[in-house]
Amino acid sequence: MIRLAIVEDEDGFALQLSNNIERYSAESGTELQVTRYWDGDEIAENYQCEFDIILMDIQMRFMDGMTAAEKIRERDGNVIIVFITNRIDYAIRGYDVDALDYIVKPIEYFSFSKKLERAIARVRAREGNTVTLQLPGGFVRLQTNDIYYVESEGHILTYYTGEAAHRLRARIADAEAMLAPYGFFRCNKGLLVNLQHVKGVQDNCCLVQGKLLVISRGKKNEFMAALANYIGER
Amino acid sequence: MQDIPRLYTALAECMAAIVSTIALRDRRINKDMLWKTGLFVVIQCVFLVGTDNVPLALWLPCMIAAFFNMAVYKKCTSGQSWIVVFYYTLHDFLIAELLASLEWQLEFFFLGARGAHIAVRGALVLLIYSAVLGALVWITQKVTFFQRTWEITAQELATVCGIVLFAFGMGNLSFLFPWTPFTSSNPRDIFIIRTLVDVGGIAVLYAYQSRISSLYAQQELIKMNALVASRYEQYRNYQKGIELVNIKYHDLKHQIIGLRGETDSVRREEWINRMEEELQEFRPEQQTGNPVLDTLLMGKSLDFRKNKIQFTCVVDGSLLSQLFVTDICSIFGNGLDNAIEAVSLIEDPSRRMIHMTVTEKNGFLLIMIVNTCQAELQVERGMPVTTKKNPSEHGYGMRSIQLAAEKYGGTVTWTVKNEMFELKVLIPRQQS
Repeated sequence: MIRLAIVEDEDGFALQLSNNIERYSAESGTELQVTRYWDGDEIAENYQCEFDIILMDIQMRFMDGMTAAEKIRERDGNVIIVFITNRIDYAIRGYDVDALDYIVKPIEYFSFSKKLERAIARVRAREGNTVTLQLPGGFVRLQTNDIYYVESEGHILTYYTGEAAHRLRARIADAEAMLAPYGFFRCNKGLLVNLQHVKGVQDNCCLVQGKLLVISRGKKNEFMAALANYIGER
Repeated sequence: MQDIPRLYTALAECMAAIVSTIALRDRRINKDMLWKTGLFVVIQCVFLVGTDNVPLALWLPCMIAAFFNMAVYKKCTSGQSWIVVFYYTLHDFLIAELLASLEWQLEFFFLGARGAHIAVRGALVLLIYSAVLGALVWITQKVTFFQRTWEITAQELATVCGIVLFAFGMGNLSFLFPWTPFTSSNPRDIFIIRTLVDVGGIAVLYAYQSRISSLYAQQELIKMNALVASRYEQYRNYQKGIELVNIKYHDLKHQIIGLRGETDSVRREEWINRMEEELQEFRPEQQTGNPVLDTLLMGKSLDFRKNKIQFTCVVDGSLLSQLFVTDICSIFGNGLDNAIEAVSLIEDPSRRMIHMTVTEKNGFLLIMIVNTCQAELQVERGMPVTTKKNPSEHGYGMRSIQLAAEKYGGTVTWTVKNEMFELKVLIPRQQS
């Protein structure tokens, strides 16, 4: 279920939006829950991080969309903000609040659905997943987002997370098959890196949590391409 | 006695074919390739050993059949076109000739025709084959002709074919016609002739290769430079055009003020208001925070309007300050032109969308240009097929973006998903 908010003061446009959302939901089979707000201050006050996507009109009476977005961003770095505007040149300032996109009035279904599709794909990509590891002392559940990298030494795999390092006997190829769908990349024979945590690339190493991890020479291009695709989709 | 054992020839041909195939596949080895390779080695060895005692007249057809087996193997494992496959198989064939000839010459000299233990002979075969192949691989990496596999023309293939046929013919002449001025009946002479001719053939082949490669590189450089220059020129023209628009804009504004002062008619007032509104829409300033990108976008906005393209962008232009002006022109000029070209082909104008973002993520500068595209997008030479009128310019726009990104240690990728084409340029942020 994807939780959507519409922030729009004109009822006509709001209706158009929710009709388009319903149509998209029916056509794509995506479950969407919509909440309507009439002004920027309504959603920004007491904002509780309860949405995945916010469709925000720019021009509103009490608090304009840009100010509301700024206030929301102070509390929620993750929510996807898509502005609705009838003036394209507003678009340029969107990066201040890390807006994903713009929907230009009048709203047409095709372009709206494409933009909503991208926003939803992004929500899904950020969700991650949990994996269960069988350790010598019992089972442990990990969020894939929390795993920095997986290292193999001999026949022992080590999962490095924020708090701990989990060690178990397993093959790195199996770990790769399990984690590759969540943005993990095998950057050398014994190392599986979560691309989400790659904060830089220097020569033949990538920077993860302040550590330089070696990317094997033959895989450098593949790694960079995977990283570009991964970062571009989140 | 001067005849090389067929198993030796088969091994040489297999090794040469496998080594060059691995290079052609960018060193990707998987199960599929392994079993095909195994099958190929078995077929080649069985065939050549099995046809050991055929009459002399059938010797040449056997060699040709062995050659085609190598070609089929390469076709099945590399996925390249037949021209490329034959081109490399000709190489492999000549290299295999050299391997077999040199090894047998040395073995004959040191061990005699049938003297030593089979393990010693096997070790010698493997040692010499590996050493010579290793040296050749090292040389080919220096010459870098494995990099431009797609551009082999039929003419080049014919030239290479001629070189190989000549070397092969001269090398084996002594077996067929011992009594000519160019041949000998003395085994040691035969060995020397054969090895030297093969070495000569390979040397000519490599020289030809490296010359062609540098010619191509030169041509490419000229084209790329012209493209970069034209993008920069385009930017300069936009700059001039926009100055004009700016002047016109202010000029018209003053005129309206003047007109308004003169008239008191209501309708006229309305008309003037409308005119002002229209002008407002054409406001020339874009504010991405990067003047070069602003100018480019201003120029492109004419194309957007002309082709009824819905363009949106979320751009932090200040991130682009680490790039040179020419590179900004290359990346955005080519990227947007490709997008415009692609969406203009879509019949329904409401489906023509381009979305561009320039953001910082994970310590990288990420430039994305996303556009709707027609369902079937053809890919050729690892790039989307051009719709340009001149297909020989295929890929240069993309190559130009790639070169610009690589200057900063960046990378370019593209994907097609749900009828959306996404171009992504990822550049490490400069540490300042």
